[in-house]
Parts: sequence; structure tokens; C-alpha cells
Amino acid sequence: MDAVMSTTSGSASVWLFLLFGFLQLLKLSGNVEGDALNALKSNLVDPNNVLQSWDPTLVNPCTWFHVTCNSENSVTRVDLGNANLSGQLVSQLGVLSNLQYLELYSNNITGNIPAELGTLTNLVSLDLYLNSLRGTIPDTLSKLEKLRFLRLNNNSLTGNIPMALTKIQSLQVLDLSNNNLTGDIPVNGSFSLFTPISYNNNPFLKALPASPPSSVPSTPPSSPATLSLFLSPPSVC
Amino acid sequence: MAFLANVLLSKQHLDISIGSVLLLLLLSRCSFSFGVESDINCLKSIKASLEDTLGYLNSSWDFNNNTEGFICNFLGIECWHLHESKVLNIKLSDLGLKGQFPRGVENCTSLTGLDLSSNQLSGPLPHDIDKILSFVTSLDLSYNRFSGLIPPQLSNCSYMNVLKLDNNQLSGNIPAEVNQLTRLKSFSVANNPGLCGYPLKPCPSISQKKSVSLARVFKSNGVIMLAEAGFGIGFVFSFSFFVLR
Repeated sequence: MDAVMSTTSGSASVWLFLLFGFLQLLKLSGNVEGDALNALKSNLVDPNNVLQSWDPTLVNPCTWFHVTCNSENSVTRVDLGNANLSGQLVSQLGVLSNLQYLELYSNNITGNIPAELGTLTNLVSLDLYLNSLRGTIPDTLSKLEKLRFLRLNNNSLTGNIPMALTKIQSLQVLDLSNNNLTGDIPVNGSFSLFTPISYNNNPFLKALPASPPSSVPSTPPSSPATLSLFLSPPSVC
Repeated sequence: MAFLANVLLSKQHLDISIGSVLLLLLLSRCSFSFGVESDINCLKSIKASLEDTLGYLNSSWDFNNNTEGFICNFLGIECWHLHESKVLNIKLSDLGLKGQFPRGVENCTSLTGLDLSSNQLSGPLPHDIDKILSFVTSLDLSYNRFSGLIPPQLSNCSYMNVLKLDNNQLSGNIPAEVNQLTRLKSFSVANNPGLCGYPLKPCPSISQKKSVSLARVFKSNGVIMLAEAGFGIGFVFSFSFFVLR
């Protein structure tokens, strides 16, 4: 009788343990996106307390202010433009696989653009403009096949404009102005839509040729760049 | 801006003065505040020069609310960024607009797209269109009543990707250079009755015109010659008739 009782209670406790563990796992997996955003919060300086509602103990981040989710409780928008934030971005942002709008413009964010943003294949708008970002534009961003708005203007970005970005067919608005970019300006692929306005005020970027139509090459000429602080519109197109 | 701050803070007066000159130059070229003023004036000018028969502009384009980037909410206006009055695209298709081509567009210095299609705009296209639409990549003026020539200076708009001039009353020769714009992917000029030249049928050439007029001369001369011949024969006949009688 005792043996039967102990076996029954033993197997019951095993089942309870398993159930408990399973529930814990469920809670954890539902929070991967919340954890990622919490990592961002930890890496940002937030004097205005705009991230006050970001509570990582909640089952998902969908009730947090400035976070929007879809019907499956997966994050689609992060709207933190003009929020007086400083600090740096985090690679964990790449985990937000359904993210469509990443709006972090007009803050004082420093550091690099994480290459992991290239995994955000549903991203439609990447607005990091008006910050103090440094480093290069990761060429992993070329994997953002649905990207329509890429606005990185008014930062301190350096290095070349990745040629691979011209593969993004959906790109409609590109603003890389007011940075420290160097090298050539791509003109093929989707970049045939972009004019000197998109590259204004990059003193070391090789200017787009303003030559007559018949002699405009498909890639800009290899003549050495001059310190053109006045990368301004020519009097003809 | 950070590297300039470093220049200013370190070293001797010479570096500082160079740094401040550079800073002043950079600030003067900063298109931020410049773009805002001129773009607002651009839209004011467009509204003033067009006849808004259906009242769409009148209701939506309200210049009294002066907050930053307010024009970005205007009907048909797309800005580069929110909260900054820098116009990216103007799309005013099918709004019952009348009048001539709005030259005020020139002040929208960051404009890349202009769509005025399906209105009742008339008159000529500006001959200096390349100064007015310096960076336009997409120009749609189709389904209007524009007349006159296609301005050859359109060929200076080297960033043009899409050019739609079809269904107007344009005439004359299509400038050859326009067909050679390197970024041009779409070019439509159909249904402009007086328009000729590639990609439409060739314009009547000068030598063709000469042969046409010569044929006309011969035709008219031939009639005269026949008349003279007829008169001559008749004269001889009647003369001989009278003489031989």
C-alpha cells in the first residue's frame, strides 16, 4: 500500500515538475522580444523616463508605451523618436523578426549601427537620423528586402556606402546627408532614384558627376575627390 | 560636428580660427533652415498660381498653422522627414486644377517627384525647366492641355527616371537628347497630335517639304501649260480655218 502510494506521488510530482518547467519555458519564449527591448532600455540613458512602462516581467512587451504589436503579440513598431535618449543601440534588436518600423530619430544615441539589424527582414522604415551614431553603414542592411525608408542622415557615420544596398528594390527614400561618408556614390539598381540631395554635406564623398547625359558613366569617375564642403546642387540638373 | 568641436577645443589660435571658419562655412551650407523657408514659399506660390476649381488646395493647404513640418500634412505633399518642411514629392493628380505650369516649384529645392497629371493645366512648359526641376527623378504631366514644344533643356535633368508627357497638346520635334537621359526608364509622349520625332513618327524634313512644294509648283505650272497649249492649238486651228477658207 505504501509502495503504491509512494510510486503514485512520485510520478505525480514528476508530472508536476515537468508541467512547471514547461510553463516556465512558455513564459520565457513569449518574452524573447521583451528581453531584447529590455536590453535596449538597459543600454540607453532615459532622462525623460519614456521607457518607464517597459516592464520585463510582463508576458510580452505589447502593453509597453512606444511599442506596437501585431495580432500575434509580436513587435511591429518601436517609436522612440525625439525622446531625449542617449546611450547606444544593442545587437539584440535583430531578434524582432516582425519589426516594420524602427523609429529612433532625433535623439543623442551614440555608438555603431548594429550589423544584426540586417536580420530584420520585415523592416519597412529605418529612421536613425539626427543622432550621434558613428562607424560604418553595415552592408548587412542590404538584406532588408522590404525597406522603403532608409534615413541615416545627420550622424557621424564614416566609411563607404555599401554597394549591396542597391539591391533593395523597394527603397523609395534614402537620406545619408550630413555624415562623414567616403568613397563612391552608387548609381545602379534602386540608387538610380537618388540625387545629390540624398548625399548632401558629406565632405569626402565623391560628388555625383554633373556632366551631359551622353557621357554620364554608370559608375562615377575615379578622379580624386576635392574637399567639397559645397556639395550643393549645380545650376543645371 | 564632433570633429569640428575637437578642432576648436585643441591646439593654437590658428587652428581655432581655421576651425571656426570651417564651422561657419559648414553652417552656411546647412540646408536645414534654408529648405524650410523656401519650401513653404514654394507651396504658397503653387497655390497662388493655380486655379483650384474643386477647392482641394483651399481646404487642405492652410498656411496659418505654423508648427514645424506643418506642410508635410498638406494634401499631395510628401516630405523627406516628419517635422521638417522639406518637400520630397508633390502629387496633385486629378484635382481639377487649371492654369499654367507652376514655376514656384523652383523653390522646392529638394523636390524629387512632381505629378500634376489629369488636370486642366495649359500653356507652355518652361524653357528653363532644368532650373526649376533640378533634381526631379519622376515628372508626370500627362493628361493635361500643355502646348508648345518639349523644352530641349529637359535633357539636362540627368536624374530623370520617369517622364510622362502623354495626352497633351505638345507639338514640334521631340529633342533627341531627351531620349538619351541615362537614368530614363519610362518615357511616354503618345497622344500629342502635333508632336513628332523619335519615338514617334519622324517630323516632316526640309527636303521633303521642298519636294512637296515643287510638286505643287509643277502641278500649277502644268495647268498653265495645258491652258497655254490649248489656247495655242485653238488659235492655230481657227487661223488656218479662216485663212484656208
